[in-house]
Amino acid sequence: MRTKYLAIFLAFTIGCETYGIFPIADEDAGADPTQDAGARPDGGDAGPPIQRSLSYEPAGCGYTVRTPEVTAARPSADVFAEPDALDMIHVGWAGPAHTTFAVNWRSSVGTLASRVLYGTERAAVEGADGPGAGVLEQLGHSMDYGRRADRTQTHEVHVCGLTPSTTYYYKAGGPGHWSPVFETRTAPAPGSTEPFSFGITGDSRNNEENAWPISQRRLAEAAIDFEIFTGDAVFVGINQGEWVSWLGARDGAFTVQDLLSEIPILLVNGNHDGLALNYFTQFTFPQEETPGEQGQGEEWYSFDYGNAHFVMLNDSTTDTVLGDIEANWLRQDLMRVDRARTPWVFAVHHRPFYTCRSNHEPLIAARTAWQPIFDEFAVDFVLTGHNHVYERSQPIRGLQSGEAVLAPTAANGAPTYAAGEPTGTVYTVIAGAGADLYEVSTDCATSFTGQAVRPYAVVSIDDRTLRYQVFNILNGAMIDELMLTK
Amino acid sequence: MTRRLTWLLLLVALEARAQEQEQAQAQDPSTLYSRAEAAERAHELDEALASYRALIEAAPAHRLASRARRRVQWIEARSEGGLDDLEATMRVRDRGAGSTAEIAAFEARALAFESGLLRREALALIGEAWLEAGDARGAERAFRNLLSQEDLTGGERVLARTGIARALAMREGAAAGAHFLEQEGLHETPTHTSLAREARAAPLRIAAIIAIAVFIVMALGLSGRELTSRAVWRRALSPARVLAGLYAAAGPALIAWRYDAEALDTLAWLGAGTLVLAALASLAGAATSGRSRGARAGLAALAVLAHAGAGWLALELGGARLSILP
Repeated sequence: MRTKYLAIFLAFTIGCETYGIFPIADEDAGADPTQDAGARPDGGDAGPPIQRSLSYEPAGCGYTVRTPEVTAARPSADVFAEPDALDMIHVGWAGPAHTTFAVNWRSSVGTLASRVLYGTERAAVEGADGPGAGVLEQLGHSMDYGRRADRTQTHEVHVCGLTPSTTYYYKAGGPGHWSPVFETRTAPAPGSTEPFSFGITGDSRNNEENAWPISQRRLAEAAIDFEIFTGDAVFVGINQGEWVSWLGARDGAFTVQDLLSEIPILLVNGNHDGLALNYFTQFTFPQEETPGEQGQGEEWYSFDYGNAHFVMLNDSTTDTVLGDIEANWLRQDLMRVDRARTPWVFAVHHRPFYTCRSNHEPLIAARTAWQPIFDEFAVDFVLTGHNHVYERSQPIRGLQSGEAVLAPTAANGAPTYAAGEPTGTVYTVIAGAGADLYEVSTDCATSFTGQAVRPYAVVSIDDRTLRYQVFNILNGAMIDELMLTK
Repeated sequence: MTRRLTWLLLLVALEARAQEQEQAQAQDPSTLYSRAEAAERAHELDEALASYRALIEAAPAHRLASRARRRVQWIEARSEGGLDDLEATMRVRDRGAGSTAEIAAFEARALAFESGLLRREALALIGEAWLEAGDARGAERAFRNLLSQEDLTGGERVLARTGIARALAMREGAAAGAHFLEQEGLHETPTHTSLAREARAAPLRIAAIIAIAVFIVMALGLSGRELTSRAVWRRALSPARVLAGLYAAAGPALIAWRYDAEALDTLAWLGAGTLVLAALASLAGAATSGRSRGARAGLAALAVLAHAGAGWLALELGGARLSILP
């Protein structure tokens, strides 16, 4: 009798293992790179030595790139696995936006070639299999992480020493295994008054109503220079499948890659992204590490574009980090901004601290920690997400018993200006590019406008003039507009 | 004579330099792009196209030329019937369709647009405008017109059908909208999910209100004059019962206050809603001690239903998404 039960138990266990319901073997064995035929396709010593993380200075960049701890991080090597696949190509920044760009992509597990060919002539880049006339090359690294079906190989290459305000063409991969050619462009020189524009989206998780790729198509049509994402790209940050869907989403013939291979997307961490390994392995952000900061300095960061400065903050952390380490960094960062050359300053984080009767309450800890700094440095806009609606506040300057003090207001809820500085900061909530819509009210003293729609915004800056427009993702109708002149 | 000639030459040189500067300014990518953008903003697309094209020719490798190319593509893709139709659609997109008479006028004009992308985009804008104006018939008509267009993309087809469903829901209730989407094979779309949830919630909301009302009436009716008795109040509000009631009502809110401030309002509503019913149930329990077992058991069952109903309503009011039902 016992034998019968044992046989049933064993059959059940083997069945479960076969269907991958739960493992009876050590899961790590599958992820051990030393047992990875893909990493060593010839079964020998091909490929560079395996490390858990890498730290190196890309040629000519003048900054250090540090990878997170993964199963295996490797410098580029001309090893190609089968099938020869390469997708999810997108660009980002770790260095100055006017002289650098970085390329991230995914390949078949085991492909170790992390090369980018680039130049200013499309035809030259298209025809090249290596560096040559009018074509330069940069090498990067790959990262192997995840288990079983989620096992992923991503690549990252940093391209530096570029000319500001110039269109570049590039392709990624390795000799004989190149992607199609894409174009991207460098930012204007710092302090330049050249016009530029950027898009704002957030909370795309679940991709309801296909809103995420539709928002990207509309931003591509608006010819923006880069995109700010206010957090919660996916529902579960460690679920690689969701990131694949996010980067691979499409609306008809348009794919998200069509936009993100051309313009960088700068994300802040949302509570659903959860500072997951997948967040750091697939995107490039500036890495200036503060002691106590997670993600190799990518938990929070800042960058300049033309005559604007952007601080990207993480509010899904402890009150101590938020109010101490991160607040100190924020103050130091804003102190360095020369407002004569860089008149526009934006702060971005996920959970709003001014929002009116929507699903989530205002994040008081961030208001207490950060608003005095935003006030001190006269930040122009604070862009957030989390409540899946659209909201714009009255201009706000100061706190009294923890509540907002409203600043003088010009027409259409615009702040007034004194000596070129806004007398109040405008706080926005721009979220719902795929997540379920919430309700919202404008019946709060701090509210200027709000609508329960799926919004995306386009901000265009031309020297001292800023145009802020918000549209409904689903039908493209404009729902808010604000013109500011300093 | 020499002095005059020198002055003349100087003037000529200055004029030539001014002209050069003017030409350089006219060819400057920033100037051209700003001019094109301003023209687009003013819905003067001829001028916008001219400036974008001048920029592309003057500085093809410039960052702004790349953006200009994209804008030219966007405008050209929507100029099947000339730029006037696109300018009119952009005005509606940017400023709203206006009054119902203006929506109707734009709808008539859009239906006369040449078949293509612009007409499809205009019909989607009109459908939304009718929905916002509360005109379900107008919205349904616009979305059905969109659905009948040639060369619809997959996304446009879904947009049209979900638009029809939203119009039906506005006119005949959420169930009608959800049913339409089921017939169209769109039962997995978010619009269907929210309409189906609304369709399920509506009768539950009525049932919850009825359960609460019946319980209150029965509790008061069965308790009768006993409710005025001090002994009943003493028994109903014994320290143990008060503590149990407060624990049940305030416990979740306290935990939320400590660990998840964002859920506080929902759980506070839940506590407030259920505490009132718990107090009434306790009073009725004490007041009906002389009643038959059957009557007391029936009242207890009603109290449970009313409690569940109040919980349901409180959670809905607090913005919680109830996902117990499929």
